[in-house]
Amino acid sequence: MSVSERTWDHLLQSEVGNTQHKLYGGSQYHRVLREFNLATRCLRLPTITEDEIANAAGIGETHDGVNFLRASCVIALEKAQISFDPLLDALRMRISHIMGRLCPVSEYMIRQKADRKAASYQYMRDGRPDGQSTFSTDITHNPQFRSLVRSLFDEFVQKCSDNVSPRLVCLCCVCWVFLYGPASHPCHDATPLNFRP
Amino acid sequence: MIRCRDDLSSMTRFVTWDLQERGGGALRRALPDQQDIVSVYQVAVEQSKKSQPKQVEEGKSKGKSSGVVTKRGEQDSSGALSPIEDVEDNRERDYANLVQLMEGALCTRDSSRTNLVVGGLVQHIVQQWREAFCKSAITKFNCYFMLPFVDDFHRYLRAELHRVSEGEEGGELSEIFDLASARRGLQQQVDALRNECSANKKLQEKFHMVAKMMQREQERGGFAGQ
Repeated sequence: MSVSERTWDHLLQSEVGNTQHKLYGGSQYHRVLREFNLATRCLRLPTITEDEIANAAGIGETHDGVNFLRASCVIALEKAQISFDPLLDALRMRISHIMGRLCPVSEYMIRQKADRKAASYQYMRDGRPDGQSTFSTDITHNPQFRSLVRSLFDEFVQKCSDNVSPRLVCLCCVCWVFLYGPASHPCHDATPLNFRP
Repeated sequence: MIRCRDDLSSMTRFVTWDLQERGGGALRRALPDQQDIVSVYQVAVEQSKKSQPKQVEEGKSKGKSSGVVTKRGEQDSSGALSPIEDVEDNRERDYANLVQLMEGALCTRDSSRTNLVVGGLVQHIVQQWREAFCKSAITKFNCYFMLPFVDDFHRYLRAELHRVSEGEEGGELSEIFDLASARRGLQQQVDALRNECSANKKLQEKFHMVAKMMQREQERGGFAGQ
C-alpha cells in the first residue's frame, strides 16, 4: 500500500462508507467492490531495477534492437501479477463469503416471515392441538429440505467462484487491450509482436 | 474464442442490466482509442525531455526540420532520443515522435535510454492499467459471480431439486420427496376405507333384512290377533 494505515482507515470511511454497518447481500457486495477499487488505487507503484529492464529487453526474433513495448509489457505483467494476485484472491474469497451468507440470511427471513404470519393468523390453523399444522406440512420448514437447499446453494457459490477464477488469471489480456486494442487480443491470434509471457 | 464469446455475451448482458453504465457512452468508452499508443510513447518522450538537457545543435541539424536533443556528453545526436519539436499539429508531432522512436528502437541499443523509456512506459502502463484492470475485474465478478445468482440460480435450484425428487441422488435425501411411498400409503388408506365402506354396506343390508323380517312378523302377529 502506498498510504499509511491511518490514511487507509480515513479513506475507508470517506471513500467506501458503511464500514461499521452490518450489511448483507447486495449492499455488502457493493461495499467490498468499493473497497477493492480503493485498494487498487492505493497500491504502491512497482520499483523497477536496471537488471529487470536489461533482462526484459533481450533479443527479439525480427531484429536486434530493443523492443520497448515488449520489454515494458513483460515487466508490467510481472509486477501486476505480484501486486494484483493477492488482491484478487482476497476479493474472490470475500465475495464467496458474502454470497455464501445469503442462504442462512434468506432462511432466517423466511422463518421470521412464517412466524409473523402464524402469530397474525392463528385462527387459520386447522385446529390441531399442537397448533402447527401449516408449519409442519410446509416442506420449506423441513430440516432435511433446508439442509438440501443449503448444500445446493453452497455448491452454486463454489461453482461461480471456480467459474470466475480462470477469467481473472489472464492478467495479460488487459495489458494487451490497453496497448494494442481488443482486436489484437492474444485470444484472437492476431498479435502484433511475438509476445508470449 | 469460446471464452471471448462468453465475455462478450456476459458483458452485453451486464451492460443491459446495469443502470450505472447504461447508454451509448458506455460502448464508446469501451472502444479502443487510437491515441492510446501515442500517449504511451508521449509520456516516455516527455520524461526523456525532462531528464535530458536540451542542446539544440543549429549548425549540424540544418537538414532536419526540428531541434535535436542529445544526452550530456555521451554520444552524438544520431543515437539519442530526439523528439521532433515546433510542429504545430500535436497529432502529427506525436506520430512523428513515434516513428522516430520506433526507428531508434529498431536500429540501436542504448542501455540508459532503454532504462529511461522502459521505466517510464512500465510506470505509465501500471498506473493507467490499474484502473482498467480494477474495472475489468469488477466486471468479471459482476458477470460471472453476481449475475448467475440473478439469472441462473433459480433454474439451477429447480433442476437440482427435480433431480433429487426423481430419486437420482438416492439415499436419505430422496426420502424427502418419496412420492411413491406417499402414494402407496394413500392407496392403502383408500383401500382400507373402501373395504370398510363395503363392510358397512353389507351390514346395512343385513339390518334392512332383519328390519323387514321383524316387520313381516309383526304384521303376521297382528292378523292372527284379529
